[in-house]
Amino acid sequence: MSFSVLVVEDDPVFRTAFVDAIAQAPDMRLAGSAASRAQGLALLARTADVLLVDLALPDGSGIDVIREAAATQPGCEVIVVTIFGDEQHVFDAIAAGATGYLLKDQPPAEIVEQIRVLRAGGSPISPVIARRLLARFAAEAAPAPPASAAPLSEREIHVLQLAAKGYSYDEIAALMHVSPHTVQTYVKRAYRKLQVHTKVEALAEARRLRLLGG
Amino acid sequence: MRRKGKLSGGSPELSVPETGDSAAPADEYADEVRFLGEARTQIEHALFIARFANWRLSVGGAIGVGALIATLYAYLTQQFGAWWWFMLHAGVFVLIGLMCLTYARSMPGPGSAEQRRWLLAWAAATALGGAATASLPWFLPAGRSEIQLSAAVILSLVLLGFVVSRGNRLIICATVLGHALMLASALALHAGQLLAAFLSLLFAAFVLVFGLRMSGAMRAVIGQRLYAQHLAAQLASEHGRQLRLRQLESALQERRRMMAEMHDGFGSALLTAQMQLASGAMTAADAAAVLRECMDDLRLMVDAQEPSAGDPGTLMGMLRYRLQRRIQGAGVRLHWHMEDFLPHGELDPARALDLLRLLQEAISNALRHSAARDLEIGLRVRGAQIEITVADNGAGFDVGGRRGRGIDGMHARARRLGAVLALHSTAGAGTRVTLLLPLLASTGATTQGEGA
Repeated sequence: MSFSVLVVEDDPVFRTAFVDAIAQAPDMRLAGSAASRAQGLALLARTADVLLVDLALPDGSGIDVIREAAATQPGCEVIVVTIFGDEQHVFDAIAAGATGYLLKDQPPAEIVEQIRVLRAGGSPISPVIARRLLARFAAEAAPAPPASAAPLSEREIHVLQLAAKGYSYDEIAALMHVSPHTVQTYVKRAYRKLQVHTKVEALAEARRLRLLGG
Repeated sequence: MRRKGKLSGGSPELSVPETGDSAAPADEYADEVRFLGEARTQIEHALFIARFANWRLSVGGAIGVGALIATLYAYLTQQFGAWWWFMLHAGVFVLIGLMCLTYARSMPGPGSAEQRRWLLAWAAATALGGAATASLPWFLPAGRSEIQLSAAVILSLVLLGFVVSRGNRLIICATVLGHALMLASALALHAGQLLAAFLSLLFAAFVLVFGLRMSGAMRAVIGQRLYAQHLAAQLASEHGRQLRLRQLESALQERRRMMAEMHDGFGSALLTAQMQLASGAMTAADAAAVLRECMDDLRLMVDAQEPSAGDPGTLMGMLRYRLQRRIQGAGVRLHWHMEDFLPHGELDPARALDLLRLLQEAISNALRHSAARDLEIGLRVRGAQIEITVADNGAGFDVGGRRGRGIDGMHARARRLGAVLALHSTAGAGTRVTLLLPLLASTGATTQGEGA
């Protein structure tokens, strides 16, 4: 059973690399590719299992495409592609609904492998992303948190603390006496909670602005 | 009463020090001199405004008290004299009231020439007011000494009451002068009570001294408040200036450090690769490897700038995250041991990069030269220090003999971090690099910029 992949990437070199890698993988098929934010949004009319998005698009941010995909296709795994993996961008993308990210300079075989891992429910995390997630939820735990946004569970916090110190998923699993798959689940859940938090915050902010605006 | 301290020399008011007698400190104290000058004006203004603020009450009170006294003496003497006095007295105070009303409309700024003119006019008006009040004995029958003396006592008490209800010096002097002269002359010339005239003058002198003392004390209080404000403002501005300087300096230092990193790091690597490629001395695969290393360098620099990566634990995590592929590619088994510890402050980006580069160099050496099978990287807390270890079980080398550029660079970075770096290597048994980093009490700008 093959799964479908959409690609939104403006740089032709990388787009071709992604498209070729996907075409050569027997378990994937290309559902479409786009070179801009507008094309990407239009492409979301088709359903896909995985969406690869670059953030810096010529006509706007890939974040919009991610948000749209998260809203209209909840079953779709969204992956950000980034040059540096610089944490602010990745963090924003996760907050918008992405569950994974890829560094652009990886060899095609590795890209395909990572797409498979993500598709199977695995989410990568870098130490800084883990640190940021912890800081974000810690900051919100102190004053009354938004009613409908769940805080991180103790185990999720533990996973993030270990990840922040550079431990790999396998090592975290061994340290916590759980399976690597469970660790992945915790990370993914933390990502989802960040997304919910961000949405609730945005709603609260919108409500506040409307109130203030009269 | 004499608590004026620095504010005044010996006189009961603020005095501006003579700047002429010592040339050098004159400049140094220019700020103080200017403050003293301004403070004097401000004190005058504050007192004036305090007095002026309740002019309605003063004028109303004067007229009310006048009416009371007039009624009393009209009843006692059964004559109209006291009423005539009341009309004069009330007329003068209505005039003063009108003056105050006009002044309230314009409210000239403190210390302005216009305000000084107003102050003089007001002093003249209050002198007139004092005189009008004290002229009561002229309107009373000269022959009845008990009437005259009681009037003198009442008027003297009224004067005391006025002076006590604060005011500035000019107003006090003018009022007392007008009052005392009129009362004494009335008692002496009209009633023929020479002793009473003398006593009333004596009492007026006492009121004057008392009033001036009170006024002086109030000036001192206001002056001290102003001086405290002045000092606070001076401190705040000096503090802000120093803070800005420090920020600027550390930003400059950091920029210099980053430039040096770029120059020595991927800058020179790119240049070398470019020249070798141009001369055909480099294959595409070699070039790709150089570019990949440059990319790793660039990512390290980006990571060092990351504000949430400042604590050593997260920094080491990022380093592992970045180098994972290379370590796996070299076929080395990695053992990762990170002790639990709470981050104590954070490294600034320049020092974060020093730590990252130092460890990167140690790891690269282990991967490149040692042919090790296992690589152990750990962090633990040792008292007030963090101990970071990079150890391999590779070939080892002669620590004393080979001092390559890389190792010199590691020592330089350790110095900048305020850390102790130790290298132990035994041929055939591997190499152990240990870095003792002080727990970060603060991110203080104690580092010395070396790259330039």
